[in-house]
Amino acid sequence: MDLRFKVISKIKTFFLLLLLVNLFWSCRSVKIKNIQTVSTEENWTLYGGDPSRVNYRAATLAPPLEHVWTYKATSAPGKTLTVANGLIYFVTLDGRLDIVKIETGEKFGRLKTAGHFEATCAFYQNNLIIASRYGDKTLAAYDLEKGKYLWKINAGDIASEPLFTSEGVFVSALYNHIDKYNWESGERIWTFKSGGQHRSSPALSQNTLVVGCDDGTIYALNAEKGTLKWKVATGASVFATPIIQSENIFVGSSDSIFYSLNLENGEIVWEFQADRPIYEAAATDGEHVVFGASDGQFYCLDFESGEELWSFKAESVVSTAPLISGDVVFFGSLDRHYYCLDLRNGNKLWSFETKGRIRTSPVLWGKYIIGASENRFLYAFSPPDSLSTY
Amino acid sequence: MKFKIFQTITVLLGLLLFNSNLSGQYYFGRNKIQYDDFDWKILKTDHFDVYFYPEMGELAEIGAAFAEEAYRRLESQTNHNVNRRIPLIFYSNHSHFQQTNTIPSFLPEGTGGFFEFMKGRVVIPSRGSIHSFKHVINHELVHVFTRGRMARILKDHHRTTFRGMPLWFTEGIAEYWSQGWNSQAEMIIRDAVLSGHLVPLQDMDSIYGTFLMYKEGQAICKYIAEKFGKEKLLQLIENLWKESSFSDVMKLTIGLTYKEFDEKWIYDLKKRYYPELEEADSPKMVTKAITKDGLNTKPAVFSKNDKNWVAFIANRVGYSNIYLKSLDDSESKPEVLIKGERTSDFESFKLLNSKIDVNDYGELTFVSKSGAHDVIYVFDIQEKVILRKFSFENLVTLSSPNWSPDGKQIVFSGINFAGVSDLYIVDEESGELQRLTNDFYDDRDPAWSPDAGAIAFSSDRSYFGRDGHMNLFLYNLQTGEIQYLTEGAHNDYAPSWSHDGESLAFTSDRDGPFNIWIIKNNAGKVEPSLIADNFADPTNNGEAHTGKNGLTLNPVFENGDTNTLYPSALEKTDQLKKLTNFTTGAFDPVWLDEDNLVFTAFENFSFQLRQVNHVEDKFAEAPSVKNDTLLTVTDYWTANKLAGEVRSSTVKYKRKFNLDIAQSAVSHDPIFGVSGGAQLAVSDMLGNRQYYFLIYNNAQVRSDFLSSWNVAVTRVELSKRINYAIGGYRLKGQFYDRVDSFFEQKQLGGFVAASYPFSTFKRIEASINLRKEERSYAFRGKVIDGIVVSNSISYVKDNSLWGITGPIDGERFNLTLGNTLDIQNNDVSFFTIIADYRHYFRLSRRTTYAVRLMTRINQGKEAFRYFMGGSWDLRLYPRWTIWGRKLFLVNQEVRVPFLDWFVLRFPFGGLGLRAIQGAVFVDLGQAWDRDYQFNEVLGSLGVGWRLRLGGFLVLRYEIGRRFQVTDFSSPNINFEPGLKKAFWFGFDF
Repeated sequence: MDLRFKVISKIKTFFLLLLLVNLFWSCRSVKIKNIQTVSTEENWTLYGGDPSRVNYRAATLAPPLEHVWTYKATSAPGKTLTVANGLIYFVTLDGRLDIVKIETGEKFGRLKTAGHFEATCAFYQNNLIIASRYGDKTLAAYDLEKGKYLWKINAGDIASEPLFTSEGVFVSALYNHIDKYNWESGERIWTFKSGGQHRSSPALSQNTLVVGCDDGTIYALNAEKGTLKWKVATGASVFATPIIQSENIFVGSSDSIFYSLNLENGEIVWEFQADRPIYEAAATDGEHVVFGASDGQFYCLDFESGEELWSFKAESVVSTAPLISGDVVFFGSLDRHYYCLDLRNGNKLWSFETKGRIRTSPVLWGKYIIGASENRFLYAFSPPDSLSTY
Repeated sequence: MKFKIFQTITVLLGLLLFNSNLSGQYYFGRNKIQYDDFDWKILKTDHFDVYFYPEMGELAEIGAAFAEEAYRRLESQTNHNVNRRIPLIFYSNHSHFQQTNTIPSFLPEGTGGFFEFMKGRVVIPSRGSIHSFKHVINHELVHVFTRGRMARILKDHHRTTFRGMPLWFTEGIAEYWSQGWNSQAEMIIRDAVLSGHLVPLQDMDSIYGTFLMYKEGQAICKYIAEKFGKEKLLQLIENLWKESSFSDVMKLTIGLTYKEFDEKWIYDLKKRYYPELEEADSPKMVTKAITKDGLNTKPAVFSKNDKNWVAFIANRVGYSNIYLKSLDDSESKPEVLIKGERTSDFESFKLLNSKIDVNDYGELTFVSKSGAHDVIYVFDIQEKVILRKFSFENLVTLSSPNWSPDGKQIVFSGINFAGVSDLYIVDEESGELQRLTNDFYDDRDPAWSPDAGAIAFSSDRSYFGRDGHMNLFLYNLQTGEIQYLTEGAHNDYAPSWSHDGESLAFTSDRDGPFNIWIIKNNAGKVEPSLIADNFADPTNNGEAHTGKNGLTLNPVFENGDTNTLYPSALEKTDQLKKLTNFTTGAFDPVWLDEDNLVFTAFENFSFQLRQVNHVEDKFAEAPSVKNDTLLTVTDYWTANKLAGEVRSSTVKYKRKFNLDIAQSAVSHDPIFGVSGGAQLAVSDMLGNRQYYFLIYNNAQVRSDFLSSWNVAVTRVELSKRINYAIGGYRLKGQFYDRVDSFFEQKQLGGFVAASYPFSTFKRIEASINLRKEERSYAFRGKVIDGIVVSNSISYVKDNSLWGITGPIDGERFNLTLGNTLDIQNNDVSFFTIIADYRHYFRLSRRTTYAVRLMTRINQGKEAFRYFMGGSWDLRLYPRWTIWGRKLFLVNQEVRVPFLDWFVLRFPFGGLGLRAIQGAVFVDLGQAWDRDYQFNEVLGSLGVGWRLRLGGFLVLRYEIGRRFQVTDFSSPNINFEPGLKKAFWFGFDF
């Protein structure tokens, strides 16, 4: 064989190996040294913003908003973004966990989740709880400071968002059980067998864990013991995640009814009949309850009475939980738009057309609104003059 | 034999030059004819570009409203939307639909619409029923959404290797989500369970693509939704990324493998349907058989010379024919009265959609598709001649002609250019056409009353028609008023009057399965004329009249209850009873006499004619059923059109071209080296104009690069009846000829080709090819350097009927005459004759004797040679080893079924194989010219087997002996020693 050809071949092989090693190494672990806690209150550490999942921040981040940066991931982000200490953590549908700097939109690190499977994550005390939708080790705790997994366990397929508090990790697993785990060891504390699969994520308040079920039931459990407090049947599968504010639970069902339930006993406080099934969680500021339906209708109801205050029509399915920021509310739709409405009257204040359908709920951190579209883009928006009051 | 470098591309080039609908293409093949020149418009709605022509503007608006409604529902149901405008191409009737160029293949009668993946087009015809139109729109849009959802999920999860959803699921979910469950689906599944031919899910491949598979898929989706939760259907799609096969996805989603699912599903079906045998009967156990084989429908009974006969449409051998059978001799075999689907006069008898009728003179009237429009024929059964035929300029689709009692007029249902189905009467003598109804309701199955005063028919014009239900009505011929006969959320079809007009039999699913019901007058009799008088006297308010030769009829209320838009034609004395109680289905009842009915029974997934006797006794014994109340009528129903917030605008259709195919190819030849190229095809949205581009380079050294480009461009125009193609090309390359060795050829030229179809079965083709050509042989040097013109003209006929591995009936013929001439230097000058005739004689339903007679002649200077030998022509001889400028070939074979279906079972699963065909053959042939003298005839004798794999591949294995025939004055046959074997691929000739 020609010597020149041999040399070229060896060089090619070397660079190929180098590339593979680099790829492998870069995905194997992420370590964050000297994590600087900016503001614990500002951190959006799990789906819904806090364990009660109310999707609310008191500060108003009002339009006009500027598109600050776009980050291109390897696939569509999941429905959850978590933001802590200036870093965005999110998992893509091809099973990668990306960490992005919120100020610049630059990649900070990337971690492959187990088996290339779709996953989701929650943030707690510089640890990530990563729940895989499918596979062998479906629940794991990852120490960001040490850059290694604390534990990995088989918790069954998980199609919902884990709930992470000081009391433990709560998971509504896909195949008919709700579990609580010790977050430090991964040991299961209790399990509750339900009547169907869960796509609804658990919400927690006042030691009561509330979660919807594909069999149409809403379960309320004692969070400490894992015992059933009460359950309420709706007319169809409950895919949406309940939210809890004060003594009230709010959740929509595939039977197209939006329910307000009493946290203590599950009694129906009021019902609101929408035209189409409701798939996503609501948001509340204690006076208003907002949610979207699968016909693109976005409703604002009175917190106490359930009376419709206003509604807004998107061009397609409302496919995210809303986010209330002071007097405005953000949400996304399959029509590729993020919208911002005036919470007081439903007037559209701002919208932004992304490059794909939106299934990722918007989150707020500092002066940034972060969203994502299914064609693997992450977007950051901010008022031109940083944080302002609407 | 020529070995061309870049063989693949060259074959494709051939296809490009004579593309699809330019049917010269396939040498044989039927013709898709563009009879009509549509002035296409585009109606733009929120999510759709609706393509339509002005005559069907109202229907297009209704369809667009249905589509938007379906979009909203599916968007919510699938939690998905479509990020593009969906092209929705409407045709006002099935005949127009069959002309579409959006796909090249033929669209049979049963195709209700399709979703085409390449451009995402949804193409749908109306069939006269608004509800059916809505159902098909919904069905196809389910495909759009589920496929879009699947594609997105697989893309997001970086899964590119998933094979896709199985057909039973895609069609099952489309049916279930578009119409839920109905009596037709119920009938088919009930029959499958009770007859024992329900195919388990794990064996669904054995009925791939059949109607039974669609309905079983629908039943499985229903079962999953009801047993495991309706959300599971969508989750089956959303979980696709998690597993590599759909059976694993099923296990993951509902917790059952195919096998486990079958156990539960089939057990539950048996529990549900077996108890029905306690109360109801199988048709074959309680009625008399008239036919036993094939698929037989639409009986028409008559008496002649004191004998009773039934004429009917049937498909017993692959083609649909009209048959005649004696009802007095149950052992007599049906006689073919009129052969269908072989000639342009009788292209289709509409086996399942159009009734036939015979009058007292023995004249049969029936409908057949014939060219652009359907035609009503009048046929003398005794003389076996067509007496008259009627076609109407604006009526495209016709169905169910029915004689007036005096045999001088025919009432029928017709769909016009606008897609509206109404009733018409044609006078047999004058051909004068009279329109009876004029609205968008679907009016069918007219039956002229024996007193001549009224016409009973089935229609969706009742309040319940909004949901697609059909009820019976009476059209008063004197006043033009319409009265109710039945009403309710059920389907009543095919009314038939008893000879005395006292009873009306029809089929109805009002209590479950389709059964025969009878409305009978028990009050007395009046003269027929009185009925007519009463119809003519609208002032006779409120008084009921009882007819001798008719049901008791209420007079028409002109100023009665304004909510009752069609008054009842029934009186209290009229009795409604269920005559049969079958588990499966009974259709198209007709009266043999007052005590006997002939009908079509559905059973064992087949339609057979049967006779129910002692009708009077059975009617007397049957429990009385309360007549339809006819009190629920509150309003006419109308179809929604685009309105309100839906934006709409209409623009004229302008051609915009989108990519159909783009691919690159690299080939390597051990002698000629590496070549690379690309090809692409574009067409407009309606597929009427297509462009094909081909480019490749076969340079062997760098210095040849610029001179080695091969380029071809073809434009094909399919919008008119005459199809044509024009193109240009520049081809250069080195080739190998088995006789003349290596040669180099350069061609720069252009061509025009045209095809004119006389009918579906016959066409004429012509082409002119003008090129600058240079050809140099390695040993002979340059032999051509001039401007060469090739002309050809062909006549092609093809009415063959295809089985699994090739034609089984009919005939095919191709006669081509051509001439090639070098007009510059006279280096080339030869003529071409090709004659190829193939006939397929049906020996039995599944056995065919096939014969091919072929000759090919190229005579003159530089005429090219033909090559023969191998599985495609002269079998058991090495491929393409017999050559000459003249050849003849005679093939004969008997095609027989060998194995219908077998499955190879492995520890890791099974492999099901479609039918294996067997054949016994004898071939004769030879090729010769001035270089190779004709001194013997080559022959072969053997047996063969053919196995169909997938859509296009047929594997062939042949074994037998070769022989030669010499000394033609006293023929001597010399068999070669030993058996010869051949394994190859390809359809039967």
